[in-house]
Amino acid sequence: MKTISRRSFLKITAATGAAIAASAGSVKDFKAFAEEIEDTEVTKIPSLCNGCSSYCGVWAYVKNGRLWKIEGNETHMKSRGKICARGHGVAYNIYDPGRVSQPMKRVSDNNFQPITWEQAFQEIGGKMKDIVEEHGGDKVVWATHGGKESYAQKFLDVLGSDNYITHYATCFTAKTNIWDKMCGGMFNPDFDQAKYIVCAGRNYAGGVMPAAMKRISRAKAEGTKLIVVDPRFCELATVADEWIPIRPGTDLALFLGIAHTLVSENLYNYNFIEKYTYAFDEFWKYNRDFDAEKAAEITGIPADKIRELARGLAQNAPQAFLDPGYHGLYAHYQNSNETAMANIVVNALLGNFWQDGGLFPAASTTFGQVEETYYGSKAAKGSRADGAGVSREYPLVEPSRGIPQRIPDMIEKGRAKIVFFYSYNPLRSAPEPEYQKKIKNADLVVSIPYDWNETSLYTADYILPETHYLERTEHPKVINGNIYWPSAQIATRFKALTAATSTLPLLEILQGITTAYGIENLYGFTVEEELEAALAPHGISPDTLKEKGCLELLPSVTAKEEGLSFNTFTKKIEFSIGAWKMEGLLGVPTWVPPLVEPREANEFRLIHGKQPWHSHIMTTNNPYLMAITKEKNGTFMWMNADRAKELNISEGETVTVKSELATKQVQVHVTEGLHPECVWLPSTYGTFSEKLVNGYNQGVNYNDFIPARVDEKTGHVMGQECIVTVSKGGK
Amino acid sequence: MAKYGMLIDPNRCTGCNACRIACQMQWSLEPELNFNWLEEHLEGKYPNLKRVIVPMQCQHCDNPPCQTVCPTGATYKREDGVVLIDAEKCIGCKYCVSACPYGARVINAAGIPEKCSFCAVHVANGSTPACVSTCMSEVRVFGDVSDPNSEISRQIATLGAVNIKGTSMYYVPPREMGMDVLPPECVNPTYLGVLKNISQPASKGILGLAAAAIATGIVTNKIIERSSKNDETN
Repeated sequence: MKTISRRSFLKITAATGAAIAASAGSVKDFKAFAEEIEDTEVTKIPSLCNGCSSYCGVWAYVKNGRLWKIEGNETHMKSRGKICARGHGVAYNIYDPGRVSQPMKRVSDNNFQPITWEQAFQEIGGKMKDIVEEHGGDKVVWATHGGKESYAQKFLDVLGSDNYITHYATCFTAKTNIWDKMCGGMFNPDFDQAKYIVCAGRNYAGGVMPAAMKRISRAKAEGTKLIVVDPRFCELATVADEWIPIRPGTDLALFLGIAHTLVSENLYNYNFIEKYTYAFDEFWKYNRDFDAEKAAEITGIPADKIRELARGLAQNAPQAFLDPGYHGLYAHYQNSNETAMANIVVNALLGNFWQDGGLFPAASTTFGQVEETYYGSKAAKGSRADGAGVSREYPLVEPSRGIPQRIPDMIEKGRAKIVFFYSYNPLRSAPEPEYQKKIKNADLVVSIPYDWNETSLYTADYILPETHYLERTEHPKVINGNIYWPSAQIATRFKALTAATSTLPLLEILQGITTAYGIENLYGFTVEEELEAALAPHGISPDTLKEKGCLELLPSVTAKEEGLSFNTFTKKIEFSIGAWKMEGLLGVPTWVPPLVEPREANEFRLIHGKQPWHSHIMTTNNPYLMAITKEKNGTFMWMNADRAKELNISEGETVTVKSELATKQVQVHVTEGLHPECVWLPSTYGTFSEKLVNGYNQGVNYNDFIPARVDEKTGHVMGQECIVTVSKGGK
Repeated sequence: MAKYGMLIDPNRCTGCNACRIACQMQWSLEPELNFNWLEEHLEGKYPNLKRVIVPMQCQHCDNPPCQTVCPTGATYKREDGVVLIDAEKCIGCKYCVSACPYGARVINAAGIPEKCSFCAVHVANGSTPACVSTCMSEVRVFGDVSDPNSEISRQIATLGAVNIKGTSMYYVPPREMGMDVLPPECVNPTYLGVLKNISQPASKGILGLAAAAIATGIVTNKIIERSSKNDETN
């Protein structure tokens, strides 16, 4: 990428400075600022960032009733005092001009009429009542980004709906589903004491988790080796000891090759395999011929390098691990499930479970419950509209995650009549937006967003804007997972700022809808009462939590040598999945090729990933983060330099990218830092809601090019099984 | 008297830009005004690549060219090493913008050429500069370099950091690239001082345009040379 020179940047800045000043806060010189600091009282309120599922602990600094800045909470295990660029941006989104300022009712195509909350509740409650009476409560779908929302389930229970669906199938369900089936749950890496870390499908510096990077950086300073396997020379590769580019879609072969080396060279932990794993022999029976040479042929990584990785891991075991990965691999390929299986096999062969520098389960805790206030009836649960966990449909898919990418089908088949979207925007974050637009065919669509996202704009009958996260107090959360931490932590959001617009927290929105629907007292409590009840068993008062921001419980997950037990049928790590066998499938992982392959001179696999300064798709209207994008040419599609030369494509040139579904134009970044077989897109861009003016029409999104497929076993979207042709020219 | 300095380890930087936006929030800056920035350097041919990201900002020079050319004394250097601007004395002539060897000055909406102040006002209140406190990879250390027991002094020694000659900044030599990716030493040619005298504006608002043009010519060569190194960055 050509970086804008500082000189020309200054010229732009000087020219636009005055125009910008009119739109944002006042600009102060040093002295004025210093005087203001002296004079103005600053309050410091704890909250949890809403930028990604890390929920980092933050301190919001408020002065004159306005957000000044945020800082990371020192205790919180995801932030450890640090906040990424996205976190700062998402906090500033409180002043996002793209926010929905009050309830809206669709009156015609993309035209909305502002209405009062009372009118919204009455109309939605009334329409719901009619639809549920005619079609049944099991036709209600609650689709959510996921995370830590806990109110909607009560409403669904009363209605008899089993349709709580999260976005996870578009993100990582191959990982969570498989780890649950083989190990009885997720295990997380301990960076601090690891001596050898291999990251494949996990770029902690792109999909940022600040505490992970802090701990990796410190470990590296102490001599820990970090190897990054990625088709792209990613942000984490920048600081790694070694970057190993891999043919996209073949990580499974690498893992099997490593496993083969560990076994055939007798480098594995024999005792651990004997005591704590089940069906090793079955695994070996099917993979005894899949050696490093075979893996090299498929991955493009030399066999000696694969053996070197295996030996490096083994020499440092158990203080060594193959990172369990995240979005980078586990929703992307026909072989994503087997890739997760092989990842577990490698770590088990290293015997690193419950070992310092290895993998640990999350420490957890429970909360007290506010006294039940609803004594009415609950309808019997209907069947899943998405077929998740349903025999003859998707029996192996976890219902707790669901299949969010096929909501239009559920509507077309009459399985969904009413759809709620809470903090979820499948029109932009799920595959095939033109297909997703059919969501508007439901009898009633209610979106609860904070901004004018695409799903709200194109499909919702009603938009009920939620408060910004800094404008509300919430029930407490258990802080754990993703990375190892010996203790569970407790934190929550405390209201730092008063909502300037007519927005409400989810609890009050659901109180309004359920009351209008005719359900008495379903949420007969305030969030403050809920908070107090939740914390009571821990002997913590809400005031104490507010003062500290994040509280750490006693360590409950620490290293152990003996008596390991896994939450599976055999109490061991199961190399062969019983549930798969019951469906007539092979239970152990073996090589499965990617679904599609690029073959022609102008064909590429389309892959994607995160940029460290944008969060998913929800920050493209943020002027600070988009300023970085503009400076860094952040919307460009990456292409390998040799391939670009063959196609006579140069830096910054606009090209036409075409898949079976879409044809789009985008500018190209020509780079040495990408595998020749693929092109790479940042996953953030392609905003097509014209109400989000800063992000509108900036770049393209990978979801435009891929169909809304469902993996049979874990429900994921196979987001990188997509071949595009790239040709010179375009508008 | 403390002597403030900053240590930067480019080997730890992954380019997340949190330092940039944390600083913007700290100082209530507009989106396009930033006091720090990242310069990325990529070398090599697939698959053998090296990337170093060098965080940049005002270097708080010992003998700041921006101060030398300032006709009104608006730019001043404190005893503790921090270079600051007194907005009331600033006439908006922008000589400092031209004279800065690092391109560190940005002009705010009021026409004042602002820059990094080492968060001096916040440091005085006991906090750490925003770019330092937010950085997940702990790329930056700020502190008193005159105190041999300070964290920064110990880290400079441990990491073998080098002082950018004539400035308050210390950089750890890049592991995989030459020293030329680091900021150059601060040179303050004596003729810069002359400019101030020949251009002494009679009153606020009247600019010594010719002198400004000369000053611009003197310092842009260096900057153009620097930015041309960014041909292959990400």
